[in-house]
Amino acid sequence: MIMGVTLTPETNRNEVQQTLDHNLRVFRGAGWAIIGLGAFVLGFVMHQLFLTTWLAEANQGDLTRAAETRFASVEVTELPYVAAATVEPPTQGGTAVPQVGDPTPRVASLLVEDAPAQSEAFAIIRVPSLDRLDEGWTVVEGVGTADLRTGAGHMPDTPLPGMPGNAVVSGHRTTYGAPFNELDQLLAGDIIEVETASGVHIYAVRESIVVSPFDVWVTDTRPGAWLTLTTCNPEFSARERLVVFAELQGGPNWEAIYG
Amino acid sequence: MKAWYAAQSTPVRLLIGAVIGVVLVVGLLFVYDWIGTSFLDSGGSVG
Repeated sequence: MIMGVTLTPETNRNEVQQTLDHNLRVFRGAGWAIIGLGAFVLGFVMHQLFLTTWLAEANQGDLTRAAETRFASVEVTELPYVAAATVEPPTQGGTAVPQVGDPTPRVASLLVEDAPAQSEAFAIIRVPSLDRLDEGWTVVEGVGTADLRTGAGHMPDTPLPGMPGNAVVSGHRTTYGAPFNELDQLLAGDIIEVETASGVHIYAVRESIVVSPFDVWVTDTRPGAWLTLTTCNPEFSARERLVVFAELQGGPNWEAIYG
Repeated sequence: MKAWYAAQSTPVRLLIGAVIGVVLVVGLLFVYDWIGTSFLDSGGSVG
C-alpha cells in the first residue's frame, strides 16, 4: 500500500500513476490552502495593528487643526444656569455618586458653545498620566464606526464636556490608534483634561468598572458634571466595556456648577 | 473565459488584472475591517 494504492501483481502501472497524481494534487491543494489562510491571518493582523493606526494617526493632524479652527470660530455664549442644589463632590474613597447638599437653588453663568455637527472635531482630550494621551487625541461628534475610525467619539444626546450632566466619550482600545488603550491604568484622582471652544475642563477620575456592552445605564445623567470614558475590554476583544467615571474639578464652568 | 482573456492584447490584460486586483484588495480590507470591528475592537461605545 503506497499513498492509497494497494499494489498487486495485476496493478496497472497507469492506474498507479493516476492515483499518485491525484493524491499529489490533493496535497498540493491543501498546502496552498494553508498558505492562503496564513497569508489572510497575517494580513488581518497587519491591518488591525498597523494600517488602522497609521490611518488614524494620519487623520489626527487634520482633525486637530479642524478642532483648533472651531475653538477660534465657534460662538461661545454665557447663559444663566440654575443649579437646583449645591452638589458636593464625593470624598476620596467614597462612592462615585455625588451627594446632594444645600437644596437652595442658585443662579450662575455657564459658558455654552454651539453643538458640533455630526463627525465634526470639537474637542481634544489629554491625560497627562498616560503615554498614549498625554499629547492629546481629537474628539469628534458621534460614535458611529466611521466616527471612531478617526478620533474618540462623543455620544450624541449626552452633554458636551464641561457641561452639567454626563458627557460620554468612546474610543478604540487596540486599533485605529488605540487612543484608550491605557485606560485601565487610570487611578482615582488622575486628571483628564478636555479642551473645547469654551476652555479646558479638568476632570478627576473617580471610578473604573467593567460592564456589558449593553449596560447603557453608564450613560445616564448624573448630578454635577461628569465625563464617562468607554472602551473595549479586555484588549483584543469587544466582549466587555471598560468604563471610567471622572468628575469635573476645574475649568470655566466649575464655579457655576459646584460653586 | 480563460480563452477570452488570453485573446486580449497585453495592455487590456494588464488593465483587467489591475481592476481585479484593486477589487480584491478593497474587498479584503472590507472583510478585515468587519471582522475587527465586530470581534476585536468595536470602538468601545455602549448600547
